[in-house]
Amino acid sequence: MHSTDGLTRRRLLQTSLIVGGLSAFGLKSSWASSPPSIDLPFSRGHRPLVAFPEKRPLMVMTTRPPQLETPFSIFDENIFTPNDAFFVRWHLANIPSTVDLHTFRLTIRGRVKQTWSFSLKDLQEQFDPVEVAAVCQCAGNSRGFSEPRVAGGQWGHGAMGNAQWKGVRLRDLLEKAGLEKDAKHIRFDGLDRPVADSTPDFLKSLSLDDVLTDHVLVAYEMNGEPLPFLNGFPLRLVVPGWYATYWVKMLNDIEVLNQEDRSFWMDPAYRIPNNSCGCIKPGEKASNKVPISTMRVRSFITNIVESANIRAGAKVRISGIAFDQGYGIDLVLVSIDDGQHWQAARLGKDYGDFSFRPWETHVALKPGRSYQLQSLAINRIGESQQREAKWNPNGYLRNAVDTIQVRTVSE
Amino acid sequence: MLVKISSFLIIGILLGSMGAVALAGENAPSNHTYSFPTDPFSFQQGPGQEIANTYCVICHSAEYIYMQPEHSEKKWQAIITKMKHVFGCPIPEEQILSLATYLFQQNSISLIFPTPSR
Repeated sequence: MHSTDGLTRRRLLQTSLIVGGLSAFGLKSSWASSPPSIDLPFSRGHRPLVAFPEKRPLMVMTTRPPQLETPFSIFDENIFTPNDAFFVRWHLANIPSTVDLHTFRLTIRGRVKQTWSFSLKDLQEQFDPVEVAAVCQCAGNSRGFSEPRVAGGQWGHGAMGNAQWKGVRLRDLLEKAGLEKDAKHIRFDGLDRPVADSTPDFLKSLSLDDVLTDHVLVAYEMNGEPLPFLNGFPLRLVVPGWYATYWVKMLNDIEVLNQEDRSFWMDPAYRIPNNSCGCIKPGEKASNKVPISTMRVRSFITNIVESANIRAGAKVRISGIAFDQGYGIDLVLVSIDDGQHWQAARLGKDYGDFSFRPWETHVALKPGRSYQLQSLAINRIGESQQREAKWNPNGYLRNAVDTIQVRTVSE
Repeated sequence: MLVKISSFLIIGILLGSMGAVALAGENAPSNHTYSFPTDPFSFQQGPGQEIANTYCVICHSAEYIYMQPEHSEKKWQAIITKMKHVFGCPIPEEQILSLATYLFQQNSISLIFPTPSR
């Protein structure tokens, strides 16, 4: 942050006086005490900053069910996203307001030799604890930037977070229960329920091949603490490299199936066009769709924000984060001229293949000029971020190179 | 069914208002209670407001409409139809068009969100 001035930070946290807008809707004047907010750079992007219990002020997209976005400045300050700043996304509003660990049990049933029910204590005492640093990113992170715009949660870039997760291997639990020969898929359910009986319950499933790895955990800790209530207390499925839709919160039921799961949240929800880009042209229809799965490689500049005035200099620091689906980041390139020329950034500490990877570089910027800053990550199997944004009707998978416009002032 | 839903909501509100986060002591957090904030605002005045305040808010806060990008009236009709037939919203078929008109109009209002109350 040394090379940028205070303007960048202040720009990000634009507080707004809303006195004028309120009377038009007959809302009480007590609202008018200028609640802090952030305006995302798309229409309907106004987000009040509100502190829910256990959380610092986060950007409220919706209150019920809660959908809270992490302000982007958090990603500049932390490689591991603090629990009280971690984004929140629920699908169904009937979330229990109490979880009693005396009675809470995680059940494993279905195509297993023996059904088991574990308390949190059982899991902590009977299985080896395992840790993994991993990014949890909503399938629709950055959906608000889709052009043309699409329906759904209008996230900026803050529906993601990186945490050190601790728990037990799902594989160890399945071994204890003993899989039947015809076991094929595993379905996960949490304590959340729909408000109306006619709404499909939120169930997600993975194939056996996808879960029999070292990394898929039933986690009871996040960054050394119990999970925050809104992030899935007391247990959450952790599927490193996969989009967050599979990271079932308040996990209390694991069902082993002998066939593919066709329930609503697997089919037709959370599906992408079945081609390499997961994309179609606006107006087209995808002929064939498959469940969304692993994340696309991404990077972000975190220390300079859009429209900032930054100090010119021979060595202006640009830094940020990169991540992919778990191959690891091989290279981050940085451009200051809208992608005409690129230079390699220096990668920072490696916290593991599923974690945010910090990076930084220095560039020479002359005073009184405009620059278009970009970063582009390439992973270890050569997959690169998209120079041009791809589109699909659900706004999933976004990993386009972002452009940050800045102006320079004298050194 | 509506009766059932309303009583559920009332119970939810009562539970939600039963005070602050009751973490049962730092040493033995065996009973973890959470106080969910209530909806910050309801649907704004206009023809069709009652339909929205009857059906949409069964499952989610009004913010869901105001944060959406500008959808056409036809798109709102498709969204409501999906809510009815996929998510089980009990809105009568004959009210879908009126609600679509209302949501289309509301969605064109540049509402500045008030802060959710606690």
